Amino acid sequence: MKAESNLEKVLSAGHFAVTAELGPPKSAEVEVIATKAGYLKGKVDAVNITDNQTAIVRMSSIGAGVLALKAGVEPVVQITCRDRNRLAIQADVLGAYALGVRNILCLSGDHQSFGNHQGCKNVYDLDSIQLIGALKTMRDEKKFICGEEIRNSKNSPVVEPRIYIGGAENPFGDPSSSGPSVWPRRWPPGWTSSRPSASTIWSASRSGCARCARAACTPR
Amino acid sequence: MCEVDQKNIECGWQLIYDRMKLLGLLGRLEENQPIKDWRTGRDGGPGKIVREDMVLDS
Repeated sequence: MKAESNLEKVLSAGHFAVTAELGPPKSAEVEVIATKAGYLKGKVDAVNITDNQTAIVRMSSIGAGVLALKAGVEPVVQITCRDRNRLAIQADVLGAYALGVRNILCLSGDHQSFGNHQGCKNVYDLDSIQLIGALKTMRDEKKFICGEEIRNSKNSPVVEPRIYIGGAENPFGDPSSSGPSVWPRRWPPGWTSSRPSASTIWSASRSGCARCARAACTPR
Repeated sequence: MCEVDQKNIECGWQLIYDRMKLLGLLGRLEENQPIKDWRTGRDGGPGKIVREDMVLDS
């Protein structure tokens, strides 16, 4: 067990995990998160917290995730590569872990042309596969991407973020014949679960599902 | 087609995949690419390149 999260326990035990999505509000309203979490509490294994979904500004996934945690559900905080560089992402991973987040789903992020800030600059300092590798480096090697140990000073203890790392696959994405067939080698061994986005219905694509299951290191 | 503009822009990933398949290089898509070093890119400051083949012997 890497992170001791509920989602990790369910998947590690060989079970099929059920997650649902909780989109953070497009405002600073707090109550709506507890309301949504209340619908899901006790019914799912974990709750996905989206990160500026469809490139529309919302409350941060970490902030909403911590509020969801307080409301009694286990968050899977999503981190996209669109909005932050490697400094910001690593800082946020440390902050999220410190606040109790144990699952992070690594995503590319929807293109900004879909959202409400179409003139913004996207980042993609890392891509989603590299993001998985970065989180694995932080967790397992206890180092930042630059190679420095995760500690305050030479005499301080190393305190790494024990995160359960996830990736996503869209069985409807082109080119359909690539994708999960290349996972075992292309994905760093740190990735420990996979999950489609909310807009993807697994059952609608049996071939996609089968490919994912064949390719996944932890097929579910 | 590209999800950004489904009428006018072809899917870049599809083009890459088809080209690599044609060249028999699909295996390259399975390799992990290292994180890019931006020190010499964009705002990395003025750079200097010496054309060794053009340097006069002193």
